[in-house]
Amino acid sequence: MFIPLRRAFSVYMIQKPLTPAYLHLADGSLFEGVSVGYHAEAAGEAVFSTGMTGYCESLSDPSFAGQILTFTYPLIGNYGVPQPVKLHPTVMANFESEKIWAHGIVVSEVATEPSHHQLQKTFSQWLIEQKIPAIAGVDTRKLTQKIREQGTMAGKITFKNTTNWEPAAESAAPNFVALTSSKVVKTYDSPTPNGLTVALIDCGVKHGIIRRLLEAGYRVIRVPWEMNPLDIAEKIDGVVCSNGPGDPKQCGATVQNIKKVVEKGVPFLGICLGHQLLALAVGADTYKLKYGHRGLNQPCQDVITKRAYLTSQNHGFAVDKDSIPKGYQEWFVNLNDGTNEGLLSFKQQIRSVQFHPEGCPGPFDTQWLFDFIKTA
Amino acid sequence: MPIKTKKNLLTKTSLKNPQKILILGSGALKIGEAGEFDYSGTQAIKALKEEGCEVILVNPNVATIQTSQGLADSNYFLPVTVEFVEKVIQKEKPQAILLSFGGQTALNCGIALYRQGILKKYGVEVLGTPVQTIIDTEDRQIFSQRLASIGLKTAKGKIITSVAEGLAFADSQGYPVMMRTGFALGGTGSGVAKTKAELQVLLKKSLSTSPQIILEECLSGWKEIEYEVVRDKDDNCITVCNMENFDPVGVHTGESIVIAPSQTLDNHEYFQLRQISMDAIRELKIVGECNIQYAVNPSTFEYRIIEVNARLSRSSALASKATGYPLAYIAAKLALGKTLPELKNRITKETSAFFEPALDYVVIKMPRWDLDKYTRVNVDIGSEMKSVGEVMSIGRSFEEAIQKGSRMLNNGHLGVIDDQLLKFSQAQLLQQLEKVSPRRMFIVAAALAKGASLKKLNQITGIDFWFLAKLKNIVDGYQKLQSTSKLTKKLLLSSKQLGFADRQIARLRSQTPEDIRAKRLEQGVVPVIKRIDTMAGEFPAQTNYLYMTYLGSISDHVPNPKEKKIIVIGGGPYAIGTSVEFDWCAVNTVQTAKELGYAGVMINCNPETVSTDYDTSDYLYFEELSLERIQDIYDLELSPVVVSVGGQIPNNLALPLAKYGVPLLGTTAANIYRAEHRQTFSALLDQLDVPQPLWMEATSMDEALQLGRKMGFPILVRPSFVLSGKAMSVIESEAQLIHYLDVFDLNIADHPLVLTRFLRDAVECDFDGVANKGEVIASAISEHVESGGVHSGDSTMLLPSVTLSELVKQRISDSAAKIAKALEITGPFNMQCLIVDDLPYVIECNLRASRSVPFVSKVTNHNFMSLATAAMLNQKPTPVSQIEIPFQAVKSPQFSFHKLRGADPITRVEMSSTGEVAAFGQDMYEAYLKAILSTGISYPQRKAVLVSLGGLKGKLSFLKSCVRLQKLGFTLYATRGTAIFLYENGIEAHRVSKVTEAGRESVVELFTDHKLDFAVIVPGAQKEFTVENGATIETDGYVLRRMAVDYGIPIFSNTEAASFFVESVYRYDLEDLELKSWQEYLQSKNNNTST
Repeated sequence: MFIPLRRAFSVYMIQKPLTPAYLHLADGSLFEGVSVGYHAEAAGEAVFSTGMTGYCESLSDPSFAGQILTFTYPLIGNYGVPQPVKLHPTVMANFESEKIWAHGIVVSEVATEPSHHQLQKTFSQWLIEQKIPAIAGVDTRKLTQKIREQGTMAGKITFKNTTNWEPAAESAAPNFVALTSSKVVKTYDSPTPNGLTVALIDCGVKHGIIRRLLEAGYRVIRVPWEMNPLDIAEKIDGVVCSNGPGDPKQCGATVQNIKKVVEKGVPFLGICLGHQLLALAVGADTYKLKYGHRGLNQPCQDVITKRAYLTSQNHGFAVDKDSIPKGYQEWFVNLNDGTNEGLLSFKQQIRSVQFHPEGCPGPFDTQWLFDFIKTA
Repeated sequence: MPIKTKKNLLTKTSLKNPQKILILGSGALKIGEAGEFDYSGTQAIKALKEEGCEVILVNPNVATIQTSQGLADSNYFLPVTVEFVEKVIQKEKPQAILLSFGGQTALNCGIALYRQGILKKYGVEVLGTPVQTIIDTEDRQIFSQRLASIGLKTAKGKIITSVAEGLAFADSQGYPVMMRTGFALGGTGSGVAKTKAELQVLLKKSLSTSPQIILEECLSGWKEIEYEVVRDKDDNCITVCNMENFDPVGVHTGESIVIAPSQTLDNHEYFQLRQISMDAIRELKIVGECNIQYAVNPSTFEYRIIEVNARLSRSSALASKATGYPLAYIAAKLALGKTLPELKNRITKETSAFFEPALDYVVIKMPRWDLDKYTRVNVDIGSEMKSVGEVMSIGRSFEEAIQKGSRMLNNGHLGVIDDQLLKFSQAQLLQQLEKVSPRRMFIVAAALAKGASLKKLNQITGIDFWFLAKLKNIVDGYQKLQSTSKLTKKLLLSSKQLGFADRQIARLRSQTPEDIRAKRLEQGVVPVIKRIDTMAGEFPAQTNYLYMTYLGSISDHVPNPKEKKIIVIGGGPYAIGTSVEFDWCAVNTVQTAKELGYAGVMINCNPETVSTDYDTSDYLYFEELSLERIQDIYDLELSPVVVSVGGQIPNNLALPLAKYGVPLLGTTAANIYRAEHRQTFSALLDQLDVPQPLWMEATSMDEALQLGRKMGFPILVRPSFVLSGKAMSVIESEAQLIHYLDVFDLNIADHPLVLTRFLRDAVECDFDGVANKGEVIASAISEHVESGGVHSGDSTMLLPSVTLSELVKQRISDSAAKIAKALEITGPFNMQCLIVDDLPYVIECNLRASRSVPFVSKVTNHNFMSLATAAMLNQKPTPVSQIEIPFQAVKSPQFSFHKLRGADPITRVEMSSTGEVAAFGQDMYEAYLKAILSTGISYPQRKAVLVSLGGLKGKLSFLKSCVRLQKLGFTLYATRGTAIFLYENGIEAHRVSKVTEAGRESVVELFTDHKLDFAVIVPGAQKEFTVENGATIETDGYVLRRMAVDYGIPIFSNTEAASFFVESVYRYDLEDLELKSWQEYLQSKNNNTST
């Protein structure tokens, strides 16, 4: 059998001499590296992710909107970036959205000569194309430990080390959900329809969720974050509330809408931010985690069956398990730190999970969750 | 409707723990089954003991940690075979058995016990993966069917028995096809056919010797990927680690450079294969750990499952060390019925065992071969395993890790770029890459340096561009170091980040390594310490597991120089002559130090060890054992260093470390050097009036001949400087000496040839001792069965000695005492003597622990390493007075010739065994039988032996044994000369033709028809070294020996061992062998002393 040879598409050489770049953090610390992305300053909340693969999925995940993302795995860009493929005019097949949402990237090393059969461009080329700055050559483990110990904090990528950077006095954080959500209603038909229609509240939805819903056979009506899914003219069999960036308490309108869904008893599945919004809707509380869960190896256990699953996660807020109201119970628990990972209604088909059952990136141990509407 | 909250049936609480559990070990280290099973077995025993189980262990490998005091409740140093294990079961009545912690040896034995109904008969439950699963995964057909039933793909293949059948399969499948013989005897039967014509030829040839052949689709050139999967009884499942082979499919994974995690799989591919792994393990119902291997088409992401190992394997040991996840420990708990979510992550002690480690570094495993220790061996690397050890390196970049790994191999490489290879042209290097050799990666790097393109190299080797580009970065760095005029701080730092050693930088800059180090320290270019925590820093974890990198700005761990601690340098990669025994010594040193209130800092780079376990030392540096790296560590730890327990690597570092100002524990570096340095040591012996064999040095051929005549032949010759050490030989005549010097082309003008009088037929013995400030405080004298001329590592050792008189023993002890005093030895030492006319001649003395320390410690029940450590730490250990041993122990070598195609299975002055076993008995014959049966030899059943004795001496020395064999009713087959000799001495033997002789009953049939119990094929003394250069002399003997190996017939190439075996068989039947645990033997000893 002849195996065609693939080699790195044209080698993108980082400009020589390398331009120094800096990461300033709110606590006054400074990390020095070299620029491996777009040459422009950018500010954001400095967070880290422990995934060893999946940088294309992560960077295009709208939940990372406004963040400066550090990868703890030191070699990023090994398999380059593929040609974007569309499943539908507004759904990507191999990315989580049409663009990079993170504001900046921090890595130890970027591959200049990636290798993969679907390779179209290098990691740096992609960043430059998308105007995203990035720093390489940083002791990302040290940075991770700092964030772990001090919590996520504001940061800024610059190209000078002279100025003492101070985060702008917090003029209320932008509403990233509004920024990432679709502005109009979009409808997708499944190639293998199961006859059920779900409304998908788009708070900055990962396209992986849409893909999984379509694979499961649902007709999907994707609605903007502030819209009440019950206002859809069609009959809907269920509602999914997506992931999304930022503090759930910024999404008051969505919380109100979910309340209505719950009151009506429409089957509901919340994912990530959608989980936190359901919690708020039923009267539970949320709080900010010190440094969040971002990685592909978060172990969660179903508290009912005791079965454990590896999950993909990306969130900075969590549901306070002690605030879960009557009629609901904790569904999943994080085996690492005991935080809440899911909610379950005793009486209705209403539930939510803090993790990403779609994977993308990460494991899909919990893909079965998409089968959330039990018909008689 | 609410979601169904069905009562969960899966989570019954764990079964009540069985009280008594039998664990099968893997026996001696051999190629393909090495130290990784000491790691897994030891972890399993600890896990079971924690649960309150009584543990019975059958493992004859005396050099392992798992067979040490304080682990299993009963140790049987017996063969891991059905006959012996059944008796152990009968006697001990265990309720359950663990089969997956002792490699293929334990698995095979377990399957046989199951098939013969023995487990059922005695009601022994198999814990963990069911036996049927194991059987299914071992049978290609069933395995493929079971996986196909859930839609998973395995390599398409078919068992065929005729040429036509084979061609039909190939037609349906397409070319090329891979052919393998069912029974790989002679190793002639595997190959790739690209065309119908080629296949026809291959099939004809192979079907003539093998009744059935496996044809498979050819996957060579595909990526090879592995996952380590864990599943519990409740179906919770994780993959702990994945790994990608640098060498694509076609090279055995044990022979491949392996990197963790995979580098060239994208997210989708990574998790797709992960899902398939979990689907497969669930279908197969494995409980515990397994390894799954894939071939992945690099351009389409088509995949095939190559195999599933339903047990702990070499890869699991590697994965465990690479990630910090204690796979074997967890697997043992799961076998007891625990579940993953209920177990804790032993590394963080905070989080659950149900998780998949996130790495923030890369890990590279590199195999270590020792093929040049063998004569006539086929050196091509392929689908069979030939490597004898491995190293694992950790870095924050591929470049850093692979350069470290290259040095860890301890075979002369300063890094990926081998200056010797740069002498070749690009064309020559590319030519060398046509075949896979142990040096492939180094040749690729050299070819890159000579301008070969990545594309070309990918075409020839199939190695992924990603790896090639990384090697190219190193080459670029090398050339930059060569061409840049000033060594700036920036260049120095970037070179260190690319993994260059000070020595290599020094060489390229025409400076000394000391200059480079001084410059680095002055400019602050120093490595930082990073911690492996399984969580990429996400959670705080105080693990002991550390490595060093230049790709970092701050250390995770700040050593406290005030802490009471010692640094122990481990043994490095396993190689011929350096094996698990040094790991035993290193581990025992750390354990004793801990007991004495010292924290232990371990430095080692071998993933197949217990010394690198998470629970052995207080601080573990998984690092190079190079002077530079140990200096780096010392500069931070500032603790005294032990160099005498890890074999030759740390021993050689004694002097340079002392020069650097490192305080060494125990004997001083100067005195270690005095023992190592030939002239000085010889002068010392003269001064002490200790006899030694006459030796001299020659710097020219004339001088060598002159000295040879003066000394009288035979003489032992060796160059005073040689890297591989393969040139040591026994020379019988002047002509041979000339021939020797011709063949080896040694530069003896610069490195004189050492000639030593060879004491023929002398009894050799090992004196293992521990001294404290020059006083010997414990000692044991082991006697060799084989006389001098056979390397001590290949010898059968008797403890207590059998033939040595009290006078001789006293003389040996006196010599040792004199040397210990003169060299002010504190710590372990080993002295070797040859005894002629009751006079012991000292041939060597090493001021470090020897290979036999675990053996003598276990036989005498005095831990020599504990005593040595106490002495080194100035704790005034109580001397052990005369040690009485009321039983006999025998240590036997294990050879791996069957894995080394073409290698001549003879024992010589150079060591060739890969491991060892020991057994106990009431006399040496009984103990020897148990030992030898532990090395893969069966008790004679067919009553037929082939005898071919070279030279009169060989014939005479085996005559008595032939009489014995005749009395025992054996049929003797003999080659011409031997048959005549036996006839003349009144012994009837069937004469068989040698292979090159025509006419007679062919010897080949004896082998092919499996008529023989064993063969004794002894080379004539005259021909000892001439086989070295592939000369035709001894062809018949070589061919016979090799055939015996290839057909799995036990072979003796030494009459002393063969006679011993015959005598033992003469005295003992299989049923006569006593079944006693080590503890029972030691008990009998206590009884004896009390009465």
